[in-house]
Amino acid sequence: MDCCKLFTEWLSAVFGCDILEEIIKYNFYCRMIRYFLTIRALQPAAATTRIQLMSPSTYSAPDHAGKFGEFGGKFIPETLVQNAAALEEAYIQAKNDPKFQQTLDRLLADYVGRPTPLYHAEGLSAKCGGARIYLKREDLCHTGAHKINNALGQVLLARRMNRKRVIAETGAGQHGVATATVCALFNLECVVYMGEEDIRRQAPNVARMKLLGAEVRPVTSGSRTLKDATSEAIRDWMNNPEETFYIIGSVVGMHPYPMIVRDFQAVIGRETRRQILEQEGHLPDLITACIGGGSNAVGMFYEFLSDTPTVELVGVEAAGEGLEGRHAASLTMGSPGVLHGAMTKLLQNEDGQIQEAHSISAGLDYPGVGPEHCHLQELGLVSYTSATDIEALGALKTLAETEGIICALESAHAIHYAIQRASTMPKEAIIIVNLSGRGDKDMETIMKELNL
Amino acid sequence: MTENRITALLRQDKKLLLAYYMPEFPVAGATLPVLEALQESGADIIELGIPFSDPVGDGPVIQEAAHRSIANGVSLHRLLDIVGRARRGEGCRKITVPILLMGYCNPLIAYGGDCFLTDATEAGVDGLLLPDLPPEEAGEFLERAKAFSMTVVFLISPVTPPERIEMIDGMSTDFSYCLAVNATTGTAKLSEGDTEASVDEYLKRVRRHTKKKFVVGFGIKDRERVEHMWRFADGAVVGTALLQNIASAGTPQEAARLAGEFWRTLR
Repeated sequence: MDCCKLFTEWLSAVFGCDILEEIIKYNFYCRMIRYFLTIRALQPAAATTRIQLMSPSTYSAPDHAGKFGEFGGKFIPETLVQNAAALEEAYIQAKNDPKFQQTLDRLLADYVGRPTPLYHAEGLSAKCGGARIYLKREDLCHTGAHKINNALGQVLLARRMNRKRVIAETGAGQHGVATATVCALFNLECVVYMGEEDIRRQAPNVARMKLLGAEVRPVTSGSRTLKDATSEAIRDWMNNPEETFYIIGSVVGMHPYPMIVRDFQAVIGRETRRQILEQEGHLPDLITACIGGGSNAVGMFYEFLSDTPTVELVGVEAAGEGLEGRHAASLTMGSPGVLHGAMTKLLQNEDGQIQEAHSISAGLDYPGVGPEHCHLQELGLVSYTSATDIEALGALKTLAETEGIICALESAHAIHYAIQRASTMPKEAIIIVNLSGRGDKDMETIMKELNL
Repeated sequence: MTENRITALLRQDKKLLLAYYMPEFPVAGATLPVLEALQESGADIIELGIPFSDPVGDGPVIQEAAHRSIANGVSLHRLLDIVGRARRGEGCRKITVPILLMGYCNPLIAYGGDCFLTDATEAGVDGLLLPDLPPEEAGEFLERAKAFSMTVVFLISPVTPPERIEMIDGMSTDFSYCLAVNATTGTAKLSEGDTEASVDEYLKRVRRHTKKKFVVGFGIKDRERVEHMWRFADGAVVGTALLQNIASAGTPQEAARLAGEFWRTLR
């Protein structure tokens, strides 16, 4: 740890201020720093771990066809092929344009409020009686969840492509609110598709979107939730290819969306890595995040992929009423298939019809999952588990009582897993939970379920 | 193996009228009578929809038809069973018109690619059109389908660039399918800036860049539109309008009568 501090101080002296951010951009220095940082972690470790840590990251996905291993791709009708190609081209140009990144970074700092804190939850840790639990406070982002990171990135792309009209799908309403927000910021027309069932469950978010000037279009087809809202948004995009930009809310859908959304959310993991090194001087033992489509999870995990298995990465799906009943655990229980333009793991029947998912949290209520998670699961870089509705509610209550933080029902799934694991780990172990959103939007459900 | 019915049909020099029908719509038991009525009233190729729970490329009419079809018990297994009976003439006159299955690829994945090709060939299916399996994703499956002498049709849209039209024309085994508008099914309105003339221009462009035949579909609902499309394309597909015309039927017989009556107005 001291070596690390000396080294970074030396680098700062040589190169000027804000050096830590600068050097992380360069893989060579990055790996050197990792080497110094991991000296402490390496002491009890085997030689194989050392080699793993020293070797450069070999993870690179998606490929040029948008494939994450056998998952992902572009399973889209010809009517969408040009849309997807234009989007990919614009994104690659933007990514290589320092001005685009500067604008995004400035807005993330001044408008969203980044970096979000990495908070040591001492009360929760004490209650669990084991590992030190840290919370990455994405709930403190403007609009109350990580969704804004991606919405902001994509709206800048929309402006770059001269699109005047923006559409989005939403489940819990957090992505809809984030999209409505950035559209208000840039004075763009905004239409949000939302399942009728979700409109009922998430009334406060519907009101917020309307207040922000967006039109909320109820979706009455199928299960009337996120899956159907996504289908409806894709249809709108198909029918309005020239003037409309589709801001997808998670790492799902056809290439290049899973890559774009991941890249915009990866700021979570980049900050977390720097913050935990500053606060603890070494990497955590376990990082966990909830998974619906999986954008907050991949945003958190991406920066840490080359640190596995020293750092354990675990995604927590919604087990709903239990895995033998109605649930939304596509990675745990699903089988490969094609939905919304990507090969991924789906909840489906033997005829290949998509089944309705169930979760107490609208944001996890999706019968598919981001294709990159399927790939990470196959590679064994991330493991996936699940928590039930009741377990999530319990964790939400515990967090509120011990830390004074009311988290989103989505994030509560990851909190539950962290609580379970913390008690089995030594006091010096570190767990980081991505607290993806705040719970205000869920108060009606919470009041009903907890008899408040 | 006998020659694929579609390959044989395309060798004739005639303009084609293709029907798109969603099995067991609007009522269970309607498929065989409707197939018979369409054959009698002059459909050259019948496209049978494979219903899927999440048809992203379809407008409200075909979405609703797909949900009714699933509710009426249609799965891919059941559909192949129906096609087999139609070919053998069980419960209707023998259906000899070429049959093309059209649908999203997930039910096929669930069925298993090779299993499906074996069973579909045996049932008497002549070809496939899978809108969400574009040429880039179709590679291996296309080769397998060719080994079964199955016709595979790919889509062309008004915004498909010339070099891509050529690529699609090369990959479609017998003919390609042009979407008249870049939109979901049943959309008659033209995209912004498009005029009648620009659709004609688009079809002329497709002709310049294709060697094989092509048909055109989406938003074609009457004889006038069919004849107009025939001036530029080798065939016209009528789907949404057919489903709308039979949606009110309460019995399979009524569905067949309405389908036949409507189809005769097109020829």
